[in-house]
Amino acid sequence: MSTRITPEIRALVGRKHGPYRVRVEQGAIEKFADAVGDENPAYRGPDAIAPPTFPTTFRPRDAYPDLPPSFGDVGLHASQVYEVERPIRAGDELDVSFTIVDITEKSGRTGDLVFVEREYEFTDARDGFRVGGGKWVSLRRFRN
Amino acid sequence: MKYQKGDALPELVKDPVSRTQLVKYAGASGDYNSIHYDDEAARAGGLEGVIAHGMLSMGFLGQFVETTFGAGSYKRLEVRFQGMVKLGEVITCRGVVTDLAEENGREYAACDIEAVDSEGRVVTKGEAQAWLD
Repeated sequence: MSTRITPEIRALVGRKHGPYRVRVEQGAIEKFADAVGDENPAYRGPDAIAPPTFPTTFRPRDAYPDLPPSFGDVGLHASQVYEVERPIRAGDELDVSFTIVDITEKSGRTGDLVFVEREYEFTDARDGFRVGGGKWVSLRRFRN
Repeated sequence: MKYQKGDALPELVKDPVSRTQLVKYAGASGDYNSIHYDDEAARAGGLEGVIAHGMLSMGFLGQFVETTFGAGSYKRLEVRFQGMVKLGEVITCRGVVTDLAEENGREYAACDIEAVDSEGRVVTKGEAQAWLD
Protein backbone atom coordinates (compact mmCIF):
# COMPACT_ATOMS: atom_id res chain seq x y z
CA MET A 1 0.00 0.00 0.00
CA SER A 2 1.30 3.44 -0.83
CA THR A 3 1.50 5.70 2.16
CA ARG A 4 -0.74 8.71 2.62
CA ILE A 5 1.73 10.01 5.19
CA THR A 6 4.12 12.14 3.19
CA PRO A 7 7.25 13.65 4.80
CA GLU A 8 5.31 16.92 5.20
CA ILE A 9 2.55 15.11 7.10
CA ARG A 10 5.08 13.12 9.13
CA ALA A 11 6.75 16.38 10.17
CA LEU A 12 3.62 17.29 12.16
CA VAL A 13 4.51 14.66 14.77
CA GLY A 14 5.99 16.38 17.79
CA ARG A 15 4.46 19.76 16.96
CA LYS A 16 3.09 21.53 20.01
CA HIS A 17 0.41 24.21 20.15
CA GLY A 18 -0.03 26.61 23.02
CA PRO A 19 -0.28 27.16 25.82
CA TYR A 20 -3.29 29.39 25.25
CA ARG A 21 -5.47 30.84 27.99
CA VAL A 22 -9.08 29.69 28.42
CA ARG A 23 -11.49 31.41 30.77
CA VAL A 24 -14.19 29.03 32.00
CA GLU A 25 -17.49 30.92 32.06
CA GLN A 26 -20.71 30.01 33.84
CA GLY A 27 -22.80 30.74 30.76
CA ALA A 28 -20.63 28.53 28.56
CA ILE A 29 -20.99 25.66 31.05
CA GLU A 30 -24.77 26.11 31.16
CA LYS A 31 -25.12 26.23 27.37
CA PHE A 32 -22.96 23.13 27.06
CA ALA A 33 -25.05 21.19 29.62
CA ASP A 34 -28.23 22.40 27.87
CA ALA A 35 -26.94 21.12 24.51
CA VAL A 36 -26.15 17.69 25.97
CA GLY A 37 -29.61 17.66 27.58
CA ASP A 38 -28.15 17.36 31.07
CA GLU A 39 -30.21 19.17 33.70
CA ASN A 40 -27.88 18.51 36.64
CA PRO A 41 -28.07 21.64 38.89
CA ALA A 42 -24.33 21.32 39.65
CA TYR A 43 -23.69 22.65 36.14
CA ARG A 44 -25.72 25.83 36.73
CA GLY A 45 -25.16 29.06 38.60
CA PRO A 46 -22.13 31.09 39.68
CA ASP A 47 -20.58 28.08 41.45
CA ALA A 48 -21.12 25.72 38.50
CA ILE A 49 -18.69 22.93 37.88
CA ALA A 50 -18.16 21.76 34.32
CA PRO A 51 -19.56 18.48 32.97
CA PRO A 52 -16.89 15.85 32.22
CA THR A 53 -16.60 16.52 28.49
CA PHE A 54 -16.65 20.32 28.76
CA PRO A 55 -12.91 20.55 27.86
CA THR A 56 -13.95 19.84 24.25
CA THR A 57 -14.83 23.56 24.21
CA PHE A 58 -11.18 24.51 24.84
CA ARG A 59 -10.52 25.08 21.16
CA PRO A 60 -7.58 27.15 19.97
CA ARG A 61 -8.59 30.41 18.32
CA ASP A 62 -5.41 30.62 16.28
CA ALA A 63 -4.25 28.33 13.51
CA TYR A 64 -2.75 25.16 14.94
CA PRO A 65 -0.76 22.26 13.50
CA ASP A 66 -3.11 19.87 11.72
CA LEU A 67 -3.58 17.95 8.51
CA PRO A 68 -4.46 20.20 5.55
CA PRO A 69 -8.25 20.83 5.36
CA SER A 70 -8.48 19.06 2.00
CA PHE A 71 -6.74 15.92 3.28
CA GLY A 72 -9.21 13.01 2.92
CA ASP A 73 -12.91 12.97 2.10
CA VAL A 74 -14.24 13.34 5.62
CA GLY A 75 -12.91 14.06 9.11
CA LEU A 76 -14.18 11.90 11.97
CA HIS A 77 -13.41 11.28 15.62
CA ALA A 78 -11.79 7.97 16.60
CA SER A 79 -11.33 8.12 20.36
CA GLN A 80 -11.12 10.51 23.26
CA VAL A 81 -9.77 10.55 26.83
CA TYR A 82 -10.35 13.11 29.58
CA GLU A 83 -8.93 12.93 33.07
CA VAL A 84 -8.97 15.53 35.82
CA GLU A 85 -7.29 16.06 39.18
CA ARG A 86 -10.17 18.24 40.33
CA PRO A 87 -13.45 19.45 38.82
CA ILE A 88 -13.19 22.37 36.41
CA ARG A 89 -15.21 25.34 37.73
CA ALA A 90 -16.77 28.54 36.49
CA GLY A 91 -14.15 31.24 36.97
CA ASP A 92 -11.19 28.96 36.30
CA GLU A 93 -8.48 30.31 34.05
CA LEU A 94 -6.65 27.46 32.38
CA ASP A 95 -3.59 27.30 30.19
CA VAL A 96 -4.21 24.67 27.51
CA SER A 97 -1.63 23.06 25.25
CA PHE A 98 -1.50 20.04 23.02
CA THR A 99 1.07 18.07 21.09
CA ILE A 100 0.67 15.81 18.06
CA VAL A 101 2.21 12.58 19.34
CA ASP A 102 1.59 10.20 16.44
CA ILE A 103 0.18 9.90 12.92
CA THR A 104 -0.70 6.43 11.66
CA GLU A 105 -2.69 4.91 8.82
CA LYS A 106 -4.55 1.77 7.92
CA SER A 107 -6.67 0.43 5.10
CA GLY A 108 -10.27 -0.07 6.15
CA ARG A 109 -13.23 -1.67 4.41
CA THR A 110 -14.37 1.70 3.11
CA GLY A 111 -10.97 3.14 2.26
CA ASP A 112 -7.71 4.40 3.73
CA LEU A 113 -7.76 5.95 7.18
CA VAL A 114 -5.18 8.34 8.61
CA PHE A 115 -5.22 8.86 12.38
CA VAL A 116 -3.81 11.87 14.22
CA GLU A 117 -3.21 11.40 17.94
CA ARG A 118 -2.90 14.47 20.16
CA GLU A 119 -2.20 14.69 23.86
CA TYR A 120 -3.11 17.80 25.73
CA GLU A 121 -3.16 19.22 29.21
CA PHE A 122 -4.65 22.13 31.08
CA THR A 123 -3.06 23.84 34.05
CA ASP A 124 -4.47 26.43 36.44
CA ALA A 125 -3.15 29.80 35.25
CA ARG A 126 -3.05 31.05 38.85
CA ASP A 127 -0.77 28.44 40.40
CA GLY A 128 0.36 26.13 37.60
CA PHE A 129 -1.52 23.16 39.08
CA ARG A 130 -2.13 20.51 36.43
CA VAL A 131 -5.93 20.32 36.44
CA GLY A 132 -6.21 17.62 33.81
CA GLY A 133 -5.54 16.49 30.32
CA GLY A 134 -6.52 14.07 27.67
CA LYS A 135 -5.98 12.40 24.39
CA TRP A 136 -7.77 13.15 21.16
CA VAL A 137 -7.52 10.86 18.14
CA SER A 138 -9.13 12.15 14.96
CA LEU A 139 -9.17 10.48 11.59
CA ARG A 140 -9.50 11.38 7.95
CA ARG A 141 -11.06 8.89 5.59
CA PHE A 142 -10.21 8.47 1.91
CA ARG A 143 -13.01 6.63 0.13
CA ASN A 144 -12.16 3.76 -2.19
CA MET B 1 -25.71 4.23 46.89
CA LYS B 2 -22.70 1.97 47.37
CA TYR B 3 -21.68 -0.04 44.31
CA GLN B 4 -19.86 -3.35 44.30
CA LYS B 5 -17.71 -4.96 41.66
CA GLY B 6 -19.98 -6.54 39.05
CA ASP B 7 -22.93 -4.23 39.69
CA ALA B 8 -24.79 -2.91 36.67
CA LEU B 9 -25.38 0.85 36.77
CA PRO B 10 -28.88 2.29 36.30
CA GLU B 11 -29.40 3.02 32.60
CA LEU B 12 -29.78 6.52 31.23
CA VAL B 13 -32.14 6.82 28.25
CA LYS B 14 -31.74 10.05 26.31
CA ASP B 15 -34.34 11.91 24.25
CA PRO B 16 -34.10 11.34 20.47
CA VAL B 17 -31.20 13.23 18.89
CA SER B 18 -32.63 16.13 16.90
CA ARG B 19 -31.04 18.49 14.40
CA THR B 20 -31.75 21.32 16.83
CA GLN B 21 -29.71 19.51 19.46
CA LEU B 22 -26.81 19.09 17.01
CA VAL B 23 -26.90 22.80 16.16
CA LYS B 24 -26.96 23.65 19.87
CA TYR B 25 -24.09 21.26 20.51
CA ALA B 26 -22.10 22.70 17.59
CA GLY B 27 -22.47 26.17 19.08
CA ALA B 28 -21.79 25.13 22.66
CA SER B 29 -18.78 22.97 21.83
CA GLY B 30 -17.32 25.00 18.97
CA ASP B 31 -17.31 21.99 16.62
CA TYR B 32 -18.72 23.38 13.37
CA ASN B 33 -17.92 20.39 11.17
CA SER B 34 -20.80 20.67 8.69
CA ILE B 35 -21.45 16.91 8.56
CA HIS B 36 -23.28 17.47 11.86
CA TYR B 37 -25.94 19.84 10.47
CA ASP B 38 -25.81 19.86 6.66
CA ASP B 39 -27.03 16.70 4.87
CA GLU B 40 -25.33 17.71 1.64
CA ALA B 41 -21.96 18.08 3.35
CA ALA B 42 -22.46 14.74 5.08
CA ARG B 43 -23.27 13.00 1.78
CA ALA B 44 -20.26 14.62 0.11
CA GLY B 45 -18.19 12.94 2.82
CA GLY B 46 -19.68 9.54 2.03
CA LEU B 47 -22.25 9.48 4.83
CA GLU B 48 -25.98 8.84 4.36
CA GLY B 49 -26.88 12.11 6.05
CA VAL B 50 -26.17 14.20 9.09
CA ILE B 51 -24.63 12.34 12.04
CA ALA B 52 -24.27 13.45 15.64
CA HIS B 53 -20.94 14.66 16.99
CA GLY B 54 -19.13 11.70 18.53
CA MET B 55 -18.45 14.01 21.45
CA LEU B 56 -22.20 14.35 22.04
CA SER B 57 -22.42 10.62 22.71
CA MET B 58 -19.42 10.98 25.03
CA GLY B 59 -21.30 13.86 26.67
CA PHE B 60 -24.21 11.49 27.27
CA LEU B 61 -21.78 9.05 28.91
CA GLY B 62 -20.36 11.85 31.06
CA GLN B 63 -23.92 12.69 32.14
CA PHE B 64 -24.48 8.99 32.87
CA VAL B 65 -21.36 8.75 35.06
CA GLU B 66 -22.08 11.92 37.08
CA THR B 67 -25.78 11.08 37.42
CA THR B 68 -24.72 7.75 38.87
CA PHE B 69 -21.78 8.75 41.08
CA GLY B 70 -22.49 12.45 41.68
CA ALA B 71 -21.54 15.74 40.03
CA GLY B 72 -17.80 16.29 40.13
CA SER B 73 -17.12 12.58 40.73
CA TYR B 74 -15.52 11.79 37.42
CA LYS B 75 -11.80 11.10 37.42
CA ARG B 76 -11.24 9.70 33.95
CA LEU B 77 -13.27 8.89 30.83
CA GLU B 78 -11.94 7.03 27.82
CA VAL B 79 -14.08 6.17 24.82
CA ARG B 80 -13.83 4.88 21.29
CA PHE B 81 -16.33 6.03 18.67
CA GLN B 82 -17.43 2.81 16.98
CA GLY B 83 -20.65 3.72 15.25
CA MET B 84 -22.45 6.75 13.95
CA VAL B 85 -25.50 8.29 15.62
CA LYS B 86 -28.17 9.33 13.12
CA LEU B 87 -30.92 11.90 13.59
CA GLY B 88 -33.86 10.66 15.66
CA GLU B 89 -31.80 7.97 17.33
CA VAL B 90 -32.53 7.18 20.98
CA ILE B 91 -29.30 6.54 22.86
CA THR B 92 -29.15 4.48 26.04
CA CYS B 93 -26.11 4.64 28.32
CA ARG B 94 -25.29 1.61 30.41
CA GLY B 95 -22.36 0.25 32.34
CA VAL B 96 -21.02 -2.14 34.90
CA VAL B 97 -18.56 -1.72 37.78
CA THR B 98 -15.39 -3.65 36.94
CA ASP B 99 -13.26 -2.73 39.94
CA LEU B 100 -13.07 -0.71 43.13
CA ALA B 101 -9.64 0.80 43.72
CA GLU B 102 -7.89 3.45 45.78
CA GLU B 103 -5.60 6.36 44.96
CA ASN B 104 -4.08 8.65 47.60
CA GLY B 105 -6.50 7.25 50.16
CA ARG B 106 -9.58 7.97 48.01
CA GLU B 107 -11.73 5.15 46.72
CA TYR B 108 -12.95 5.12 43.14
CA ALA B 109 -14.96 2.83 40.90
CA ALA B 110 -13.77 1.67 37.50
CA CYS B 111 -16.56 0.89 35.06
CA ASP B 112 -17.06 -0.35 31.53
CA ILE B 113 -19.52 2.01 29.87
CA GLU B 114 -21.26 2.12 26.51
CA ALA B 115 -23.81 4.08 24.55
CA VAL B 116 -26.12 1.95 22.40
CA ASP B 117 -28.69 2.93 19.80
CA SER B 118 -32.30 1.74 19.56
CA GLU B 119 -31.23 -1.33 17.61
CA GLY B 120 -28.77 -2.28 20.32
CA ARG B 121 -25.67 -1.35 18.33
CA VAL B 122 -22.84 0.00 20.44
CA VAL B 123 -21.99 3.44 19.06
CA THR B 124 -19.51 4.59 21.72
CA LYS B 125 -17.83 2.55 24.40
CA GLY B 126 -15.03 2.79 26.89
CA GLU B 127 -14.06 3.00 30.51
CA ALA B 128 -14.85 5.46 33.29
CA GLN B 129 -13.32 6.06 36.69
CA ALA B 130 -15.31 7.95 39.32
CA TRP B 131 -14.54 8.92 42.89
CA LEU B 132 -16.82 7.35 45.49
CA ASP B 133 -16.46 9.97 48.25
